[in-house]
Amino acid sequence: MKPYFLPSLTFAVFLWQCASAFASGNDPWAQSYKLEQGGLYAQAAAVLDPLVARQPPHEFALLRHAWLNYLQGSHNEAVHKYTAALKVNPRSLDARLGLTLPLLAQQRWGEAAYHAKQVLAVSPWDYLANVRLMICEEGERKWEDLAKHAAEVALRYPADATVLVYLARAEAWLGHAGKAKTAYLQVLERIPGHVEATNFLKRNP
Amino acid sequence: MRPRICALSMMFVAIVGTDALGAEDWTLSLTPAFSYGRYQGSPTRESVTGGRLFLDAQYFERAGLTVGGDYANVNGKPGYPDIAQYASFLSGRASYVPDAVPARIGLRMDLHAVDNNDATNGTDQVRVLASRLSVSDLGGTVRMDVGYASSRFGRSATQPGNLEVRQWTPTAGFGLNGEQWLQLRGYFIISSNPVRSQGRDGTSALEVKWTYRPERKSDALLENVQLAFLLGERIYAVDGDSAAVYNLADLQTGAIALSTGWRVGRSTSILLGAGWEKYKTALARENVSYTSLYGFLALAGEW
Repeated sequence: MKPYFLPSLTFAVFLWQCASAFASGNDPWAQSYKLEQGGLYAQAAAVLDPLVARQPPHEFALLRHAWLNYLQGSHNEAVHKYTAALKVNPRSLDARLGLTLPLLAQQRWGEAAYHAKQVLAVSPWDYLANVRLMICEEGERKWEDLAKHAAEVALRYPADATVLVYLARAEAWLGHAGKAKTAYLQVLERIPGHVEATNFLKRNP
Repeated sequence: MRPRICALSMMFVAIVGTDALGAEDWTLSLTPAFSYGRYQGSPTRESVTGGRLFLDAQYFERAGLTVGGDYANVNGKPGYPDIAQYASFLSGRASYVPDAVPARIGLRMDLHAVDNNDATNGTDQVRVLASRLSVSDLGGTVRMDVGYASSRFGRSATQPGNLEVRQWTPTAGFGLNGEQWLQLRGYFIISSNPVRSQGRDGTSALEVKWTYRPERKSDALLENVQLAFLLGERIYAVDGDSAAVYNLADLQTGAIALSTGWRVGRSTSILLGAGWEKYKTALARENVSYTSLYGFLALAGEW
């Protein structure tokens, strides 16, 4: 393979993405989705810049900009844009849930937990908010809180394995091997061969 | 003093933002503490009694403010007067996670004001501005920081010249296995006036702290155990961890301290500790070594 083959291919893909975006006409939304599909997150955000910059700002453009910044790893810009979207619409659960993503990525557990709890205040059994709050509780090593919380959520989502994994982890950290084992066995019923559950049960037969 | 406080508050507002005014966004804690120590071999001091009250406000992981005050009374040996000392403390801190590197960058600025009725005036009117820049990984396994403190002391009635002290404290901290933390801190202290610094224009010391924080089990009350010791020599040190200024005009030549924290409620804990410190001082052209043995009790309530 020639040394310049890979850059040429990458450039060709880029041109194809741009061409597709152009083919989608002047619709910035269609362009943005196409560019996102191709992994060109910065360009996908850039086509929405005029909508973000206008006054008053376009709420959905802000949300998409925030999401695309999060995908790029520009977490501070993502926080900034989600916060701006929240100012436009303070009742937006999308903005609050979105805001938790870059905060979790930066391990700002307290702040992410605050926004997850704000969502739960109006929608107590919102699945995403509950799981993201559990991530915060795990990050802050609040095992008692996590065990209690995960047990409550597992009652509401009995088919879900993720919540049971958090429950099992918390019980294991609390030294309750029996309870952890029960939860991991339930995980294996939902996801046979689940690596974490299998490893725990091997160590705790 | 006023411009510094103003700069501190501007930095705080810039980091936290003006929207951070909701009471539920803040975690507040109040920490009253009491201490008692006895000197052994000191020609001038018998014992010391102290109390302090600190109020801390933390805004998520972004920033925090601490204000506090403490009072200490040093009981002199017969023929030496007691010294009553008041110290006030104001500290601001902020942290930031840049996108470029998976690390948390922290900046902290402290102001200390220490006043007492020391008859020589040598340890009175102490003003300290201290800052610290830190970098830690997001996983909390490594932390490096560098601190700088600048201290000014009042004019002594018995010794000539002004006294200004500069201190550098490079620090490295490592998580050992998730439950243990080892911190090494160097103290490099430069005095502008050796006459008022036991003949030293510079001292250096190494402080080693080992902390054990067991993972919280449902029935466990122990929150942490800390063992610390100091090697080398230091004088007029500023200890950012304990928010203390060692304004005593004696050379500290060693220390060891042990403390334990216990959970007594969901948001209340007690810290119990004891320590031993060794000092050297020149008195009537003779070097005298003495030690101090102390204990302390602190109660921390969070809401």
